[in-house]
Amino acid sequence: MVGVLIDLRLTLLRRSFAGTQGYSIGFGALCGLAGAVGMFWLATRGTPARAGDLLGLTLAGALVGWLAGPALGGGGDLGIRREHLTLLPVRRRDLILGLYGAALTGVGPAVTLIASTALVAYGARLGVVPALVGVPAVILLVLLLVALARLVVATLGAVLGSRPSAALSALPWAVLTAGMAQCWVVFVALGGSARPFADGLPSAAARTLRILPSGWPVVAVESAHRGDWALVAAALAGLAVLAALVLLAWACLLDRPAAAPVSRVARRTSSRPPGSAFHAVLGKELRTWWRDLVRIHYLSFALVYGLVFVLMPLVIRISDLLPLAGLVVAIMIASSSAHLYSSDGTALWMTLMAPGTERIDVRARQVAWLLVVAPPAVLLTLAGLVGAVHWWTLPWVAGLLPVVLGAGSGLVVLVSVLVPVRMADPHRRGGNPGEDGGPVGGLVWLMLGLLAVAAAPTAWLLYQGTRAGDSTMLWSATPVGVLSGLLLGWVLGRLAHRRLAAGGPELLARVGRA
Amino acid sequence: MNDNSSRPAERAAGSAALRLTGLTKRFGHTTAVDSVELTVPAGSFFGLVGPNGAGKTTSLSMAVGLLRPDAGRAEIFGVDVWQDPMEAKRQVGVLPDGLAFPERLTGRELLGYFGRLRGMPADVLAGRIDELLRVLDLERAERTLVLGYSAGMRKKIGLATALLHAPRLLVLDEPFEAVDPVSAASIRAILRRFVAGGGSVVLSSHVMALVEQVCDSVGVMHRGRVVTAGPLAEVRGDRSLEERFVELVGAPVPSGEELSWLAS
Repeated sequence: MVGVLIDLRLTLLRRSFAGTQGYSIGFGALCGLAGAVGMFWLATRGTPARAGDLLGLTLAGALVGWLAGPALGGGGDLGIRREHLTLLPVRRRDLILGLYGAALTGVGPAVTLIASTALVAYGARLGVVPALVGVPAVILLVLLLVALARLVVATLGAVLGSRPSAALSALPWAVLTAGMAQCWVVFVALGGSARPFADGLPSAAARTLRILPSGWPVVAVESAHRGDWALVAAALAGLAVLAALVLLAWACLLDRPAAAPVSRVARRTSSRPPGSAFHAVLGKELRTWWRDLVRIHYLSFALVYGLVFVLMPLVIRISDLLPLAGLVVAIMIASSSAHLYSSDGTALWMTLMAPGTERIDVRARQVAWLLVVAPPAVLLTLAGLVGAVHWWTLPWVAGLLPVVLGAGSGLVVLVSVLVPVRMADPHRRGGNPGEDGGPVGGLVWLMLGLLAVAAAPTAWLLYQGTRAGDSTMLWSATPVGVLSGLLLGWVLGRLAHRRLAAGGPELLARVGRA
Repeated sequence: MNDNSSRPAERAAGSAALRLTGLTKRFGHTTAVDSVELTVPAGSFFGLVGPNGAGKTTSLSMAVGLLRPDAGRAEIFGVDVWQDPMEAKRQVGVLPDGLAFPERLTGRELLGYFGRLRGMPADVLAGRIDELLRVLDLERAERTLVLGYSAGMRKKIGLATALLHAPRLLVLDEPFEAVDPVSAASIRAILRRFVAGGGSVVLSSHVMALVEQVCDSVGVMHRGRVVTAGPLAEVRGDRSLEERFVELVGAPVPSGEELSWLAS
């Protein structure tokens, strides 16, 4: 059974290398390999002690990635599901191991394995035996990380059955990822430097990183160097036992039926048709934002991420980031909503049957997106400005927020039209972002890059103005930001609807091929 | 802009509700639809039959402008679907098979959305939505999102979207699949009334008895080609449609030897 499922997974994987999904996987693999190079660099530079600390930090990053990735649609879908196999007369243990084997067969586990071998390189600096101990440690770590990701996907499937649970279930991942992005705060709070990669970690942080399961491989290698064989055995056995426990928990959850997606509304809906075609699309989009649990999950993630990102530095009495809350939230929502047409799937046929409405469709989606994103972004920005009283940040947010909102509204539709990703049709998916979110991880990074490019002129003015203390230059960023936001929203939207009008049937064929 | 090419065609099309000429679609090395020629006269109730994978859905998708053909033309009442989609699509209502809707809308919201997208005035739309929901027995699902509809209800709401703007031609892909017998009877009645009032229907199905019961003309597709088409009586001759179909498609007659391991 295990072999059969791994074979099946390999076949699916081979097929998925074709087309857009192939690019997405390739891009992800490339990013992962770049990370691997970075880890080898860290493992082989500086004093061994510092290299060990930094490996602990990057492995903790990998742990957060594997925990949060599936919750954010980072390719948690194996293409093989428990539901497909329920009718087979197979022993449950074989089934679980088969699915686990399939989960281990993939680009993500392979890249993680390659990156983690930096630990072996680190061990080699300490001696032959520590390097040898590093090998099983790395393998056990990958086994643990993959099992954890499966547990996350299954947990999401079991709990995501209502809007509150969709919003709440984004919380842990948002806190984790924002906390990882702002880990320098913790180091400074512990008396270290804000640049851990250059100056090393404070000892308390280094100790904590080794207590986390992701740090146990480092502990194993270092203990082998010291000849503390009891600790080597404990670290390795700990990884194995933890992986087994996670697998057991996953197996228990697999037997529970997935929560059904929300398919009823509380009230009878208005019998008055929308006021115009534009209102029709706008209403449809806003209702989808409010009723689709996956979208609510992403929105909630963005909000919590933004808040944690700016609030964490308060621990070390830095409140300068508070006014940026709205900006961070807007960027996060933009980067996680660049798959509007893919998530609507073949429903595009309705737009195609009403030719001439492509412009309305795109513009109404842009307005709906802005109606969802702008109010919380502006409110959080104002609250941050008033709360922190750091008026020096005013030109920064006054310049950057408009360009992010404007360009974001243009980019989400343009990228949605140009880069369809493989997703199950909305009526064929269950509402678990871990399984149904599709390979949107690549889109997130793409959107972050494009937003950076769009905001570059404004950011340059702000940077130069701040550096030179030139308030004219600093404040000139505001009109530049507003104008480039308006212009990009208009131009990118125009590109999107022209593309949709010219290649609607082709887009339908691509989103329908999932 | 294409006056020279479309005018003679328009005249030749005459009373054809749907005319496919040399329609071809290839997916990689497979030719799914191979130079399909088909004329559906206006006012007819046309059944398109064929085994799985014969190219029915692909042909109908190209005929209504949802899938771009590699070659050939599709005309609705003489208007080229790919040259003048605006005019052609105004005249046709479509029920595609297995495609999604904006799933987070209720049935009523979906019809309101689509009607407005089709440019219908609000007062006309409101009345028609009420009537369609009642006739198709979808009123009870007032609070259910389309996502939560059963397969049969999905067919019915799809049919409602096809009927909403009162088209002259209906193109329905497997309209009776998964629909309960009571609803099927009411859908049949609606379609018959539509044809009696001068409308034209093209439906695809692989249930021969049903096609025989409701259609006055049939076309048989096999391996991407239309192997025969015409009035039902002509196509089936003195046999049942099913017998004629099997003869055309050349299905192997079971010898009784196969699957001997089954139930042994």
